Amino acid sequence: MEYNSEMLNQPASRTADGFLGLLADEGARKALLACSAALSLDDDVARRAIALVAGSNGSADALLDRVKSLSCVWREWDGTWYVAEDVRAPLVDRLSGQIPAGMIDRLHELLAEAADRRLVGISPNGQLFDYRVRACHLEAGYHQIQVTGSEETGAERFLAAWQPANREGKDATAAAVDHLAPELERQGRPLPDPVLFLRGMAARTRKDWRRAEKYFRTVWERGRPGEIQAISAHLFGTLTRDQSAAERAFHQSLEWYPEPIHRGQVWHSLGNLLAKERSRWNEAEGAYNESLSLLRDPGDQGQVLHSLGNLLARERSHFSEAENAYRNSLALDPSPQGRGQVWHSLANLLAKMGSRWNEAEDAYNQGLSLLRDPRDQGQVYASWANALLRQAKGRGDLDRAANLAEIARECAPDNPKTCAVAAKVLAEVFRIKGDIRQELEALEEYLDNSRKQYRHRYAKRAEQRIREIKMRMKDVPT
Amino acid sequence: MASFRIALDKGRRILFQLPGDSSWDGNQMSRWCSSQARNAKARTAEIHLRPAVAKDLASALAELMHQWGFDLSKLSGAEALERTTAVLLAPNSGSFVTIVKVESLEIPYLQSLLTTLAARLPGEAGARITVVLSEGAAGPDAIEGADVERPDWAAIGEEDIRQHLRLSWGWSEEESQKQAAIALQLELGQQPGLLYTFIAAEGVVWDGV
Repeated sequence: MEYNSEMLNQPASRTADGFLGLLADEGARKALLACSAALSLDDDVARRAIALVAGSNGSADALLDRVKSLSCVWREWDGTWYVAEDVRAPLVDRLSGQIPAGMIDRLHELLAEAADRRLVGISPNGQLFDYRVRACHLEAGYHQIQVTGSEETGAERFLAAWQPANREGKDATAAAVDHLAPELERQGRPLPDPVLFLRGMAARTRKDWRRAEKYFRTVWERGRPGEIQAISAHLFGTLTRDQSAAERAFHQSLEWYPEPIHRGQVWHSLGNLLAKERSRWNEAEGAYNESLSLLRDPGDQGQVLHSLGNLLARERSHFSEAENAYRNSLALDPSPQGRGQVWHSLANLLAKMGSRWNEAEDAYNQGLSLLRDPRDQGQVYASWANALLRQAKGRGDLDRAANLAEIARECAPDNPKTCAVAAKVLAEVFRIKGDIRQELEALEEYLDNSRKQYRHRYAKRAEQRIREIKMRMKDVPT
Repeated sequence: MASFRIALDKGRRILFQLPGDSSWDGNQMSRWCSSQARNAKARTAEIHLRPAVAKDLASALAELMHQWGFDLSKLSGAEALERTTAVLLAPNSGSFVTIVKVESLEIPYLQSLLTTLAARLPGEAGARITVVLSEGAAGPDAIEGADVERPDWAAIGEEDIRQHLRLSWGWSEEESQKQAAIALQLELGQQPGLLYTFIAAEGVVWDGV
């Protein structure tokens, strides 16, 4: 047997080659490749996979022992075992070069059937039952998708794992499909819609918005009506900055999947999109009302009413309707987080009314008492400081506004929006007090946070003011 | 791994981070740790967190609890953490040893799982030992309430290999020396997992005898 040190060194693909190189004969190497095709094995299934691929003439047991003695094979507590991922994935890439295509199909069929047999035999057992059912669907899907002509069936099995799961099970399933997908891509397989959809969901969970948008866009652009296609279109619309594409995606999403909760959510998103254009505020209001007519969950309805309130609060003539929307939302939304945010919005509205300042302050306090995340609390403090500054009647109010702005910054030091509002309040307070050095410092902080939010217009104004102050400071002796 | 035995005997709350790479001998180390823990009558469990299977936090904890002798009904991750913590915080609960094979550090619940495994009622003497096997022994640098250690591994030398071949495999001094030299030339002294496979592969010369 020939060895060389380069073959045996890291990275993973070389380690995989190293294990192949260390196995003395062709049969053992094929046995390892056969076992690497599986995500999970027991001895019986492994023996059959080895017999199929290595054509072992009765020596499958010996080959199985050889494979299981390798340090890349790990045993789970329930007796199943697997080839570790740092070796398995690179070996899967080598399958097609070592084994005829027809045999690879048969190997995956065998492994998919084994997963299905396991699925039938699972007995209900609390939490583990759900996980095992999910794992069997996932595994069967992973193999079926690699059998020529069964790609769509395999992809549907991924959805069978994802759909009935709770939130955490869904996230885990999407993450597993996202992990396996590059392997399928390297085999030159076009990824079916369910795989791209689940990759999008995985990217969304880890807040990788760019990739999420890419996967959802691809599914939407394929233009095939259906549930996951409609959800993809909806989620793409919420992520893209292209407002025209977003609107088209929302309308197609509504056409593609008639389920009322889905449609209610899409109408809500469409309302939010239309609310960005002043000329389409009436359409936005209509979209929110469509949404309210479809959603039945009080929490969902509460969120739509909050959005409707935000729209109405933009025009003084609709302040009273906005207040009603907020108060209806508060009555419906059971979540403290949701209600905390509505109290925050209501407080901003009452503050704009001037005569209801005391009620506004009570509402800010209500919001703070319900919101637990310091970043959310920071936003409330920043709004409160800003509102107080606008109606300040004396030095006492100015000091209080500055104090609230400082608290906002402390609560959410990494949130550019909160920090920008707080810095703007501080700059204004120092301007009124005539302290130009402190004003300059606050303006520079405001400029920095405006840039972080890509608010170029605000940044330009801040730059202009900073230039003016610096000019003045040149004239003032230190 | 003397530090593991000492931690077990002294009832430490500790996280050992070992290499889980296939070229290393984490596999054998995990089995050694499990058997030491069982001999010491510690509740012992092993879980594998793999990116290719859809294991959520509640399911990972259900596997652990099942091996410790408790069953979890259908729960959310947060509820399962609460139940597991209650078991670990029970008075006179004894020692717990958990082997965690981690194939991706991106498992979102890893930190909260490892933190929970260190839970113990103040004044209790039972050990809380977690052995994490991951690529390059990477992982969290700190766990609330527990020490984190990455044992310092020395490479296997020529004498170790020669002795092993002579005593465990019955090779002659001359053959042992020759094979040990080949193994070191291939830099297998740094990769015990591959070294075992190399020795086993060379052992086939006796198959026909």
